[in-house]
Amino acid sequence: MTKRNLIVSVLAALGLTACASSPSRELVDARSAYARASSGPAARVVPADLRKARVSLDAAEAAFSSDASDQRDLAYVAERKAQLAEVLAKRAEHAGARVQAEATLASEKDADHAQTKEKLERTRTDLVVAERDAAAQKQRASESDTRASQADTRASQADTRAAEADVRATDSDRHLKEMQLEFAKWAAVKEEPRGVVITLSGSVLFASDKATLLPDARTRLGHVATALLETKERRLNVEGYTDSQGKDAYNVDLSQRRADAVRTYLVSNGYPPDLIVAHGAGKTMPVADNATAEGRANNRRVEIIIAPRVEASMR
Amino acid sequence: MTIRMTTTRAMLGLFLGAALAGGCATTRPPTDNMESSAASIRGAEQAGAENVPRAAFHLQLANEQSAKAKVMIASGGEDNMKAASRLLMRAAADGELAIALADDDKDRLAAEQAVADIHTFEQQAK
Repeated sequence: MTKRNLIVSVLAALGLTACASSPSRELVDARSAYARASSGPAARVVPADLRKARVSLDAAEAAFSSDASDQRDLAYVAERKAQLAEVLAKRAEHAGARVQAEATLASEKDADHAQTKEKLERTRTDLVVAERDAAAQKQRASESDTRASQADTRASQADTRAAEADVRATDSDRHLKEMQLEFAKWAAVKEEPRGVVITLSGSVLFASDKATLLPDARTRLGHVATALLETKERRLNVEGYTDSQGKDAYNVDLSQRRADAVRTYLVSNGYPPDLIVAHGAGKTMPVADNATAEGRANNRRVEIIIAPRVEASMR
Repeated sequence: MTIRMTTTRAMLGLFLGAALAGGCATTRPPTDNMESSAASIRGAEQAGAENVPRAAFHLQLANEQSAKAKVMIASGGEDNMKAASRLLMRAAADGELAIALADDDKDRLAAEQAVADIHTFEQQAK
């Protein structure tokens, strides 16, 4: 072998060695693809698919080692298998994200539904309370109306009673006037602060030292009674008086009995007994001079005092 | 069975017939690889790989490799059959990858839509 041939042979041998030990571009890509896939989520998410890629890569490596004719094709397939594992891992992640998002949406919808339901319940409760308040207010208004109506009725009744009282008072006043005219012939009638005072002469009513009404006196008192019955709402004071002759005790007793006699007669003619008070005043409060016969005659008297109307209406 | 599947099978039959007619009685066409590649290509098309750029790229590779393999099979000969088998193996791998990429795109869109639905609901709920 010449020197030149030796050099060529060595270069050829080196070249063959270099070709045999240099992996194809496909294998390099396959290794890179697998390394990327195995370091990513594929190892965790799709381990079975990653294993298939590993098997393919191993086959490609074996083919490369044995310098098989299909080593480039096997490496090509191994790269695709590794890429497939990566895509499947991504797909699983996307599917997981979708499921999670749908679960989140469902959860938010549930929460919203619950919130809406709660609001609805609150609104319903508020409505019930409002209706109850409105009913109570209506009830109170109704009761108030009833009370107002009752007050109106009472006011109306009071007005009616006042009107009736006015009518009665007017009637009473009219009767008093009539009495004054009627009694003026045989009795003195005058108005004083204590009321209308009808003064009857003792000699007209009673015999001397007696407390029994004379027949003529009964007739006259009958007229008085009839007139007083028209005003029977008024309180009457029947007061008996004597002149100054005789003992005081006797005079008081006599005047009391005479007052009682008049009272009894008026009551027997229908005047309410609880409205008549009889009182014997004796010789007190003379209206004339006891020194003269005429004065003493005037002092011997019975006074029927008709209480003022205001006082009567207050009973 | 779809028209496309029928056509694929008819073409496979035609290639097989041509190979046998070539007089190479000792070389058999790579039937398994032919069927698996055809199935993956069909699956990728049905998954809508044409509409997803990366998936469309791998579907195109699969189709080109499959087409080359068919030519080789039609030419006959042991070397051609072996080369065709390897091409069909590549085509099947590309087809499967195209299917996965197309499906992943749908999953990605579905996930994005689900997130968008949350935002829409939250906006409406305000």
